[in-house]
Amino acid sequence: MLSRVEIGSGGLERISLFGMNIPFIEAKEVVAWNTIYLMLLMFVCPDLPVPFLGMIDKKRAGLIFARPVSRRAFLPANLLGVFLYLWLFSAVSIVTVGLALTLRLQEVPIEFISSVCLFPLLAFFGFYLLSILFGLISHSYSLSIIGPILCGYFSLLLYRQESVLSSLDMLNETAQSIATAIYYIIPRITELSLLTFGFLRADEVELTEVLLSFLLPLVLAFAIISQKEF
Amino acid sequence: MPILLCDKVVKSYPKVHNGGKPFILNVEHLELEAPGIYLLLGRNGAGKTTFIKSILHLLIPDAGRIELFGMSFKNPESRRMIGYVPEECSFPQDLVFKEAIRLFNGLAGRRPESEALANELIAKLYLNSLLNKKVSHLSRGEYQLLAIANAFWGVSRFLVCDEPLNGLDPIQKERVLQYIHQLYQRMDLTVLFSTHVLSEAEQVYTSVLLVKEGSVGQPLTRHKIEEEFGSLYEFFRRATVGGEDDVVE
Repeated sequence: MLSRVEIGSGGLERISLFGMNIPFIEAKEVVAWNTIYLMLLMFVCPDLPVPFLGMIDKKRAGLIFARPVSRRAFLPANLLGVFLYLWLFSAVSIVTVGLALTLRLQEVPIEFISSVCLFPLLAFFGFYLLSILFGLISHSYSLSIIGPILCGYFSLLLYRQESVLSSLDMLNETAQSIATAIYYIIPRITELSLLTFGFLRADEVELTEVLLSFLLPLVLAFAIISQKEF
Repeated sequence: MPILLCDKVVKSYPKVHNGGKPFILNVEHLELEAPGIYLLLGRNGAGKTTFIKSILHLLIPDAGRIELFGMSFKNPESRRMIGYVPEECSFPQDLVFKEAIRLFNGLAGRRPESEALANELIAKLYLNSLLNKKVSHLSRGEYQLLAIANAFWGVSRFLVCDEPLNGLDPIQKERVLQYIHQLYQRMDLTVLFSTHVLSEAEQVYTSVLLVKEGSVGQPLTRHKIEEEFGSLYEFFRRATVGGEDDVVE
């Protein structure tokens, strides 16, 4: 059974996904806001990679890279710009909700602010990075959107590899080694999303390890852009 | 210090990218020392655009050394004084003419040395009526003028033009060529100019660089071409015709 929802007399009792129990955490408002926020980013900015892909289009790249524009600085500048844009985009809503919570709780909701500033933004940024990597490789807008979603899907399957392999009756050492190897190659977008949705708590995940998993796509994107021909 | 130096530059394309024929650009040694209007002449597919894109680091050569103003072409600073008119380009459709110029020149932190120069560019190319026109509403010729104005904006030493006269009407062609000639005379500008419009280019060129089957030759002066061949067309015909697929009359 890939997912299971149990409803008892008192309401929702248990949710499981690929055999993993989703914990009920106390800070439901944080989870709710994180979820809403990531969804908001996904719906409002799904085409955020499009300007980047427009810039590396052969007909436009000539206008940019024939100028004193460094290829090495181009990608970090773009990532920084997008990150700042997302922060600015978020600032108003975070401040408003944070202020409302402060007035209601009579204290500054640090957990809420830190969580909402961190996980949804990182998750979305992870998607963005993968999106531009797929765009750089394929030159296709559709693949740059579909690629990160597929990556997220595989990352979820790999995160729950034992349950998946056992449900497919393939729970042997070789299959597990291959799955583990791929798990460490594919950016771990799932953990970031699960943190955002409250399916995981921050203390259950090595956040540094998750963030490091994005190093490979970043290095790949650098290598591709520095050798790209326009 | 030469404006452009190429030494043993090789750039190859596999057969699959070139209609079944392997293509190799080969520049044994080339130095452009003096300012001038250098016409880059060659048949279709000879390697003119590959050569231009290689010196601007838009293509990565397999081997060799390219220097602009004494700096490696890989150094972005080497392109600070260069203006480039690509054969094909794409500006954001939702900007107006002057915003597009500001955007792409702003990337390089570049602007005309003086307001007078900017006004001169606008006046010489008759751009006044276009400045507030949306890019999406520009005609083919107006779009090409945008590409030209974008390259000329703030250019100070080296102008690289890949078929810049494409899509322009005869009057516009004449204005662009005259303005290029004026800039060359007044500012000691070096212009590398690829074109097939020989009759118009003949008015302004000072030297020719012949590109034949991927090989870029040494500069030939206007004087030498006129003396030996009479006209640019005759030189072009004799220098380039004669391959297997050509019929020579």
